[in-house]
Amino acid sequence: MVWNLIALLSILPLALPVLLPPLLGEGPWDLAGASRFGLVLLPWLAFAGLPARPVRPARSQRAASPWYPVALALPPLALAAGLDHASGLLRLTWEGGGAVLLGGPLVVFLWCLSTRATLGRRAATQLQAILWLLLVPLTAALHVALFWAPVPLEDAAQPGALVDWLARLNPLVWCSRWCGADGDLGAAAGALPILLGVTLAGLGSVRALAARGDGREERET
Amino acid sequence: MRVLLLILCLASGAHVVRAPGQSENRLWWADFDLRGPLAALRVDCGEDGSVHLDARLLSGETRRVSLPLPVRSPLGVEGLGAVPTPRIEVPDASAGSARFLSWSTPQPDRRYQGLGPALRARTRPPASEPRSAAGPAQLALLCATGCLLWALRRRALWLLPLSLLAALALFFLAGRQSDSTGVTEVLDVAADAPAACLQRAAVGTLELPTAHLEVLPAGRRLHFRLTLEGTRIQGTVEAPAATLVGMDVRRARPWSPALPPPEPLAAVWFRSAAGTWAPSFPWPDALPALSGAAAGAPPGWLATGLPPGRTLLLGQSAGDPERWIRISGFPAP
Repeated sequence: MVWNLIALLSILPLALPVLLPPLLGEGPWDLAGASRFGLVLLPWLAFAGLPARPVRPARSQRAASPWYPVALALPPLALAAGLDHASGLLRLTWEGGGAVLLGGPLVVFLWCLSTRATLGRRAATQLQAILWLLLVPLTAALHVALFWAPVPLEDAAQPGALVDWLARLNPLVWCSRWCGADGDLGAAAGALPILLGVTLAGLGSVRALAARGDGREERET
Repeated sequence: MRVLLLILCLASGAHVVRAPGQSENRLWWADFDLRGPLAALRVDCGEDGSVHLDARLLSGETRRVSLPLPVRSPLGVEGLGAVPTPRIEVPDASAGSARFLSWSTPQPDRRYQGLGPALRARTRPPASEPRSAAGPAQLALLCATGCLLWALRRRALWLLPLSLLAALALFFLAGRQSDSTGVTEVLDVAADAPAACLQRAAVGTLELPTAHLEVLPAGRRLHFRLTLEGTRIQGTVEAPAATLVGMDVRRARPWSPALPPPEPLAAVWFRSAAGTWAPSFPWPDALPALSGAAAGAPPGWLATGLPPGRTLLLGQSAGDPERWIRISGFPAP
């Protein structure tokens, strides 16, 4: 059910420019200049790793396939990517859009896999919950707070500064850097390896904990 | 005395006031020293944009070239000294190098400024923005795919192939949804101007102009993709979803009813000095099909803001409907 809600949220940027003008007249619905792919990707980046309640193994057998969230995310992402490519916002080169076209869905895929792997495993679920809190909402909030703090903006924006590192660690901040009309796709491509590395390292530890829990259960039985 | 000083201060800043409809120039040329082997080069101008150059210099080859940079200089040529030196990056691990020498003198923008305020104040040609919204058919396909995936959510064998198929279909349908945009071109001529101005407008991508470049909204980051052909620089300007207007200065040719037009025209409008418009023009020998025919009203953007009390000739090319001509001071027939 959660995946369906995320999917509905993700198609809003595609549906609103079509549905709202007949109802509310002309307005800022066309999102001119903003990347539709980024707007569709954003809910998946935010909620794909949402902490789930530990489910008993019997119920986990009736859960949807682990590929279901990935399958649900691909069509709206492809439509949004096609619209961006047709309007020149994204090109099929690494620094011109290829990095975000591949990297964004890959981050979503890793979180979806990890969520599925933690079903029925309390310790692994808790570890993923902590990781999600750290890597998604907390670092994003810190990034926003740094712009409120009395830090000179030119220092904050320098490569190597804390703000720059948060943009490499946090998928939401990474997405926001290239999603807008003046987004920097080159910088997003440069930050992608660290984002993927951190995500892999964190979720790999979740996976290892889940596998260790499986091994312990097998020994006990 | 204070009023006089105030007037003097205001007048001293008047040279930076641009004519109505003008934006600041985003095309400033700088001299670089390139040493081979050098395949490619990237110049980072910070928030203003970047330049990528395919240099293809061989080992031992040196070249001094002028490269265009998309920097902002609100004070024009005089303000270039305050613009930060751009950062140069050589992507590949070659032994070549590149060095910023200085801002070029004279700047090609000087030729554009020399056209005079009347030509520089002409309205910019419009550039249509591509439609990039999903259509109802695509949304319907998206919803149908979602429903099908929900029904098959426990069958892993069907999920991914179906999803990939739908994704491919939607990607290509989105590409057909968008209208392709061309370049709108207008040649502005004034009878008393030393040269003519060719304006070219497009959304997103434009061939690199030589004299002057404007972007709307102002301040948008620009990317130049250039190739070095001998000593000649060619390339394109990119600014996603922004309107780009490039100006080139052309040699003025004499215009007269006795001389044929430089190319076949599909429509011609003539305005007399008294302000009356005529949909055709007495070029019957060159344009027999148009003789006496009404061509409708000229486009609003083409006929707006032109000097009153002077004759005007507006024309649309027969070969390309997005190519126009606008001449003030055309000799009356």
